[in-house]
Amino acid sequence: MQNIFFIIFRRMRAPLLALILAYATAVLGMVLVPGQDAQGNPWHMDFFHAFYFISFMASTIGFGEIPYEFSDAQRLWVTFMIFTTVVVWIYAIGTLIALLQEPTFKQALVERRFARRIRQMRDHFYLVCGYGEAGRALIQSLTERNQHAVVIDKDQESIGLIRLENLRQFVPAMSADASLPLHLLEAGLKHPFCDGVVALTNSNEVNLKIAICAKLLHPDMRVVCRADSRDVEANMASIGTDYIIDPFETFAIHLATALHSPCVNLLQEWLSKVQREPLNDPVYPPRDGRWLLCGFGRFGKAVYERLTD
Amino acid sequence: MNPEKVLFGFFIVLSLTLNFGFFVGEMDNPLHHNVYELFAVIVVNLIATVLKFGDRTQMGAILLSTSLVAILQLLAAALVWGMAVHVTGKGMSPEIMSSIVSLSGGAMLANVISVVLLVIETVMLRR
Repeated sequence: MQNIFFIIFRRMRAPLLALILAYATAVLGMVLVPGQDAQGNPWHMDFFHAFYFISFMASTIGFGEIPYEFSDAQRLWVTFMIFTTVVVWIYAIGTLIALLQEPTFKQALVERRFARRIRQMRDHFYLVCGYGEAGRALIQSLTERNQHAVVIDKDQESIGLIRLENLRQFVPAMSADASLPLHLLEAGLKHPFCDGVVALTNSNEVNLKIAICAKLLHPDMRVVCRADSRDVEANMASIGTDYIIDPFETFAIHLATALHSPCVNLLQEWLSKVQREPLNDPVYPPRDGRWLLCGFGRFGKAVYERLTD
Repeated sequence: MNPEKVLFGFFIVLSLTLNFGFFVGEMDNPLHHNVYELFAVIVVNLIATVLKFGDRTQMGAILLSTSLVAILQLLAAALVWGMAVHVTGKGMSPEIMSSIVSLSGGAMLANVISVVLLVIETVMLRR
């Protein structure tokens, strides 16, 4: 909240000063410049009428010359002041409008609204960082089982997609960089109802950072992380991450099970499929013989290890 | 020698000096209190308030609040003057004048606090 006002005040300083000076000069001039009353006697405007006249002059309303017709000296002063005050008003209003359109300002507003929404959460929820394929599937499954979730993702379009999905529960989502602890805190990392954080971004380092933040700021909360490098996994394990998911390992295990014990694999698939999807038929791969493994990257290595067990 | 700081200090001190100048004199004697000086006080206080915007420290917050108090009291004084002379048609009287001067006295106290805080901030910086 303070951020928003701070930005507005700092930006509006120059326009406000210009406005005050323009009005002050105009009012003082109107009071000092001699006029005449209905009989032609010299007469000076007082501050009250001067301020009234300047107000409706600067806002371009222009009621008329009050209370008596102006002398030429007054008209000369008013001519200069019309251009000054109207331009200063346009400058002030233009600065304010430009400020409200600015992306950083709008982002500050969005973040504030999001953080307030999260603070008001009264249900237990999971914090999901990263809305890629895995994130989308996870949110789908969680909301189908009537669990609540909060999503942050770096990509603005992914967050836009979440609003289009037909989810059973409302999932608050914000486009923010999950590697910044501030954004994690805004998304409810320290919220008492946050049951766990799931780091599913496509960067190992970001996932590691999320795990560290979560373990430091909310120690007794479950942390589930995705990683595909052994070093990062070791790092995550050393700080106490509850579940580390290596997609290559996971798929290698599935593949090995499918090749060695297809019925176990079938049972696992039936039990963990998405609701209301038809059960698939068993597949029986050849049991004897050699398998030719083409490619020996991370995935190839994981498959090789599992198959030779 | 920072020109921004010079202007900041200048306007804060000027708002106090002009305010004191308006305030001093017999409380109910309209001859002792010039309307032009009240006008100058209001303008300079407004400028000082705007210059205090945007400071996130505790000191900045208190400075801004004293300025806002001063503005409130001075605008009330101007309003009393304007209403008495023009709106109600009663014209200037010792009671009205003393109301105006007492309101400006309150604003002066707020300006005194503002100047004291400015001095304290400066002394703390030198350390």
